[in-house]
Amino acid sequence: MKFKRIVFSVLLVFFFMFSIPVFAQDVVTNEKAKITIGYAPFGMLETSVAKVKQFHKKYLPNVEVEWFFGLYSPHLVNNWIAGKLDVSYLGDMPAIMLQSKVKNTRWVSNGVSPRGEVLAIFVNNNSKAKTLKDLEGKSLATGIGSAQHRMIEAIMKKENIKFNLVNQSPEVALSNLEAGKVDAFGYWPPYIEMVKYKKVGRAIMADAVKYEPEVNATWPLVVSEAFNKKNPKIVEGLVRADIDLHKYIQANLDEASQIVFKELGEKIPLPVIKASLASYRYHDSIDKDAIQTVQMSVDFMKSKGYIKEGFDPAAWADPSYVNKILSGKK
Amino acid sequence: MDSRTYCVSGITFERPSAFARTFSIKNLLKVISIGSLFVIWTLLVHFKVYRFGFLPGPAEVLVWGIEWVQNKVFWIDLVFTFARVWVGVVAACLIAIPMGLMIGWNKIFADFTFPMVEILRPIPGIAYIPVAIMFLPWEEASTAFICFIGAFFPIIINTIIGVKSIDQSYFRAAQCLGSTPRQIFWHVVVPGSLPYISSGAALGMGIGWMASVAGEMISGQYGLGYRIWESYTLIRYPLIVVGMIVIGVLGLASSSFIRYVTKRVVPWRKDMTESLDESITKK
Repeated sequence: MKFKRIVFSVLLVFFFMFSIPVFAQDVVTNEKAKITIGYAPFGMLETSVAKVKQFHKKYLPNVEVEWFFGLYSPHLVNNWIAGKLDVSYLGDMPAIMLQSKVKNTRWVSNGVSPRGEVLAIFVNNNSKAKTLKDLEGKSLATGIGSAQHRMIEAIMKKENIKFNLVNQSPEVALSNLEAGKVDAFGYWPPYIEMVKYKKVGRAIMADAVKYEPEVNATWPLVVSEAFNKKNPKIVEGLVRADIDLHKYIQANLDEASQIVFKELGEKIPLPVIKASLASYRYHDSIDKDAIQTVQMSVDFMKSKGYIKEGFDPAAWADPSYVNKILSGKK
Repeated sequence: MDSRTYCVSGITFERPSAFARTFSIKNLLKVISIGSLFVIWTLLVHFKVYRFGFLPGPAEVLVWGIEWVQNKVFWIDLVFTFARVWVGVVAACLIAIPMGLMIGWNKIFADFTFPMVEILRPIPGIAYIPVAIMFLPWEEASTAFICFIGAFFPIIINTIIGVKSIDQSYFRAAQCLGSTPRQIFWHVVVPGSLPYISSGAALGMGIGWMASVAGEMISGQYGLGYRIWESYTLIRYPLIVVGMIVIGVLGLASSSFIRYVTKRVVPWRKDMTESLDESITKK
């Protein structure tokens, strides 16, 4: 009996001796800091999960994160310019606008990589339109300067359809679609699923997969250059947390949906959230494909006059963290 | 007496020339006042006082303004907003003035309708956006409705106060002279409350312009308020300021027009209907 107890104690000591370094090796830095991360959960649902699950704690145990809420990315961009943010999840177009204006941000991780599934075009239930061609000369509501705006323009150009762009917030456009005041509606998740769920419109283009790669986008995690230089370990921890977030959502869609549902105050129906999260795609590496996608967005913004100066996405990107993490280096 | 002179209590005064009137001390002070605003603005932005460094300076705003004015879109924006605000405010006048007169004059009507007005009054125009979209059949009507809501309440409240402030002796005198209620309404209530109605309309016009930014969030294509909102999402701060200035100037011009018209219609209460700046700077 005594012998068994001794063996058990020795094993326990060995377990702790070996397990502590195993746990500890996840920690990127022990430095203490308080940082603020911008997020717009109604546009980027996955950021709610990041907030609740706090994946960064594993890598940055002493970093306290305050989450800065924005209804949409442009609100975060404006707050960034006002000096209230150094780290933020953003839609690609707002991120490009920000970089074009302040010229001191770095793209360190891909928050979400929207593909063709994150765009659908709807018409009013009573509309006679059956195909995209029927939208010739009609009004189509979307968010001006959004990734979906670029996607819609790319599709319409390809199909040689001239349409009338109406810039509205998705909530307003949803009411207008229902009231039949706009002919068509093309927004991002969760509003795509919301239209289906509430049955306020009929899809004439259920997704835009066949238009890839023109309809691809990437919603980056952006940090300021100064923050990046001063806190590389913290940035690395955040990028690791972002990659963990992607893995978690892909593996636990139901649980992630529940988190988002609760985090958004149960304002968006659970099936809508689940379908929306399922439509997201994640592309961890900042590779040639991702850079080309951002280049398309930069060119679009410049051609529309939304930014005065373009820039080189390859120079804007800092893939060092992602490359290091994906190559398995510590 | 010729056109260059005027007479008060038998004394003839010489009328100042147009040049003297234009370059009077009063006007000079007004110009200096507006100029100072721009100087202060420039200095605050240039020296980045507090958080002014984040804002565009007057020079940058001017450059954007010149560029925008030369663009056809500016004029389309202007016409759209002007029409929406005026339609909204005129509709508000057409409903609020008769309603306010009736509330002020008739107690039964007041007891029946005024609580409704008081419940609806604190609701901000922006909260009416979903209602406006669903309730009104045309998009333009929805946008004008937000301006209507903004203008309606100051006009009705001023009209009610206008009726309530009429000297009771006028009513008694009219009754002694055998006037019917209808005659009292048209010859005492309406003219007696006109100065307040005018002030309410001018106030309503100002608020109508303020509401245009919220209203044009629905419009999605044109309008000064829409352009301000769009500029916010596209991070074009100078254009936001240009839009603000244009709305301010047009709002001032619209309110001034109402006061000018009322001064002609109600000359006996000129002191009440003349512009605020004249009232507070008058000796």
